[in-house]
Amino acid sequence: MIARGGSRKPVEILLVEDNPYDKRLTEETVLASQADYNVAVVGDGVEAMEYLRGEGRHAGAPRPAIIILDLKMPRMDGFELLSRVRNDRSLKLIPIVVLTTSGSKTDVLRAYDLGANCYITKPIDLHELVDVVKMAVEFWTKAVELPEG
Amino acid sequence: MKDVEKSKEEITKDLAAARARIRGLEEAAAGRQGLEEALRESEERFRMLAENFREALVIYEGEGDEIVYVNPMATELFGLARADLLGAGFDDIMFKYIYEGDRTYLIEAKTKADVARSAGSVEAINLDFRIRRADGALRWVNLTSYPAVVGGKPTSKLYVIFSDVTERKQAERALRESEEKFRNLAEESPNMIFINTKGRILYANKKCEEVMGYTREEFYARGFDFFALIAPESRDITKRNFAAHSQGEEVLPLEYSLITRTGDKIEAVLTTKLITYEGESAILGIVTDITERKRAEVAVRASEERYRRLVETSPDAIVQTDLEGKIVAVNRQAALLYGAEDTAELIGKNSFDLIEPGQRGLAREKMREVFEKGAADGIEYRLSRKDGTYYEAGVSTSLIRDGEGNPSGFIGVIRDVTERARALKTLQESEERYRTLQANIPVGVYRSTVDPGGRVISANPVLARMFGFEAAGAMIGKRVAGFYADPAARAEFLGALAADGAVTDYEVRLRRNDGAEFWGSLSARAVYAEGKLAFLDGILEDVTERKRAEEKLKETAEELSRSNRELGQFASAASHDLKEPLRTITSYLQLLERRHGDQLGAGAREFVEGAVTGAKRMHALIQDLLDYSRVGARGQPFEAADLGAVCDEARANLQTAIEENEAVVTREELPTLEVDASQILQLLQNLLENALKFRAEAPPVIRVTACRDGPEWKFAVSDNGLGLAPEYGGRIFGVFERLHAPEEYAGTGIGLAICEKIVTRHGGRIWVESEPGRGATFYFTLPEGGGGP
Repeated sequence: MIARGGSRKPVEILLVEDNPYDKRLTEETVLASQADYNVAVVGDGVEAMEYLRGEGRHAGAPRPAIIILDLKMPRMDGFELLSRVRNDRSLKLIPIVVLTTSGSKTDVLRAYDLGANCYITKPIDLHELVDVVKMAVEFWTKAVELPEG
Repeated sequence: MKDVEKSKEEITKDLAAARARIRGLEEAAAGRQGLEEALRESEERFRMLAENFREALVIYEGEGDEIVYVNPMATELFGLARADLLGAGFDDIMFKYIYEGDRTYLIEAKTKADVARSAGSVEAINLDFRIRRADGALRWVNLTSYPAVVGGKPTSKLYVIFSDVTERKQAERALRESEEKFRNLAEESPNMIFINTKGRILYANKKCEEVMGYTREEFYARGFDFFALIAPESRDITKRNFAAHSQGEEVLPLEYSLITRTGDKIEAVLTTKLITYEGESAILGIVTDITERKRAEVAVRASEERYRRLVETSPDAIVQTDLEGKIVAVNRQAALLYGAEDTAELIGKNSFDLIEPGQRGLAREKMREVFEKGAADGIEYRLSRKDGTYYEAGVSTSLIRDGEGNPSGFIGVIRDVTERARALKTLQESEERYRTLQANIPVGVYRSTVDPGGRVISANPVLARMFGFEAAGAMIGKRVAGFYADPAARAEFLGALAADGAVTDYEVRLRRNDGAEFWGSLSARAVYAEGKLAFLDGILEDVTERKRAEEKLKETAEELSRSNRELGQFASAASHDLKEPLRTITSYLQLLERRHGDQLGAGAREFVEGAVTGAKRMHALIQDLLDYSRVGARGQPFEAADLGAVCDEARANLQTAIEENEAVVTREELPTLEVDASQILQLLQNLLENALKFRAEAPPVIRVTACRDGPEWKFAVSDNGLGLAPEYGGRIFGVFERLHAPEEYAGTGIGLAICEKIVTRHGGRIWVESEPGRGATFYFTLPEGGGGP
């Protein structure tokens, strides 16, 4: 675990997840426990795009440092959203971590093709889930150096 | 004619002598010598002379011209006795013995003579006329009469000499007739005929005018150059011939050339004869125009040359025989056909000997037919070659005749028809096969017109049955479009036929006579007549069953595809939708324990753990089942792979477990085979994992080997592990089959089931040989050439 002091601005995280139980799990176990994480949750790709562009009720929403993305969602699924973000000049550099139940090889391949930064199949064990999500978020928000977006 | 002329000369001489003597006597009398003796003597001499005179002599005297003397020749001439004549007057003689037709003319002449005599003329008169003798015979006589002259004046005494000129007259007439005949003949002759003397043409016939282009007046004119008619190269020889003729020599006919007025050249043969013409020596020439004959000769020679070439260059053998069949001439082709080096080898042979013995009777019969009818065509014989083998020949025979039209032999034209006979036989067989095929194959065969409606021209029984007709005949003339379920299809079919000349396997719905529909496959070929599409030959196959099977197959394939999609959906559901609730269950149970663990009793915590374990196991089972189902559905294509390298990879993947177990894994040389390498990797990895898992006390020793066993390779993975009882050998490859409790050994029991499925997919077998406590050997086979999925 890499910590860089508590005085800093909290890390803005966008969680795109339709399943309320998974939403709750992620918030409860992984993110809410950390003081410097600020988590926004949207239920599908359409709302995610509104949030990213600060439209509608998301006007003035902060630009997220990372997006945690489920694949299976109503209206606009994770693949479509991946594609939109990667094709948007102002959004394309935001790290995207795919966090999904599917371990399908096809899904893995497709997600990376569309520009996912990493792909995590949700482990069945809660403790493992907590560890892997924390690790991924800290890696992409704290360990790596990214150009200014 | 010569005899007559000579006799005339003789008579003239005799008469002159007689006249001199008479004159002498008269002068003597007039001289009044009066010497009776002399007179008597003189009369005696006269009488002697007159009596022996070779012509008839009659002396008339007085006013009535009474006959006073006749000599014996006169009695003989008239056929009367001297007494009958003496004393008779002129008129008596005239009306009794002169030919009726000549009487008028004679009386006129006598009257004229009498008048002249009265006027003192002593001129003799000379007349020809006919007398009728006492015996009735007609004779031509020449009368010369002189008046007796005394003192230069005529007396009443007349000396008349009759000469019998009957023969002369006859000769003259014959001559006239002969000349007339000659002229007639000469005029009508198809040859040119001329008479020529000393370079002058005395006679030229009509043909000369026609051929040479000159008129007779021109021919006969003085100064006409006879030799101008003769071609320069023929002039010398013609002159030599004429010169020889003038010396009295006979010359042979001469072939020479003439030049006509218009300059045309005529080839001719000149036959000449020396004759006397109008008292002169002349040359009678007969000219035969042989231009046509010459031309014909050239034509005949050319024709013969053509015939010879034709015979020599004929691709057919030509054989000429005599009437007995003996070969007298053959061409080169005949020798070749016979297999002879030279045509001479065939000459003298009997043609019947060259015919297969069994056919000789027929040949003789045909020969008689040719003899009667003149020719016979295309009779087929088996003819022998020099080496004794036979060949099929078509023979046409003709009778030949000599120049007089009598049969002289036969000409046979022979053609080797072995190939043709063979081809004909093949054709017949082919046609027979076609007929048999048409009658027996279960396809309709037909011919129809190509107009929009179309009419059936012919149909086979199968076609008739297809359309529900009793017999093929019932279909003839029927409207073709009526047999199509959709008439537009026929228009499309005809369009394709017109464009390409043929249509193959055109599938179309057709309608039977009873209205029922069926699927047909039409193949047709356009048939053209005079460059226009005339009709079509088609075959029709009832493909209803095939169509049904195809549709069934299509349905099955669709079902399979749907089933696969469903399987895919199931797999997806299993991997995501089924596992997700399980994960939610475990996660929330664990969240419960995490947040409220201190509030739960020890028993409650144990229950939570049990539920989590169960859910996790179910999660694993779903994953394994998914893997198992993917062996068939997600297999890769077979490619050549070095199985040694694949085995090494499996071993590397298990490196941690190998080290933990202190195991030794070795392998021998493994072949390169066509396989799905990722699956063989899984197969070997599962077997190695199995061997490591069911180890005995001693560190595991695992060996992978392979050997050739007929058409396949047999692999063995042997270990020194626990082993198993033989009765379990068959069970362990079942899905989720386990010989141990989950608490004893981890795993769901899918590993070996997956192994079996992989080996089966590769066309091989898998089995285990083992005894408890003595290790186990797992065998599997893979075919040499790749089993194919």
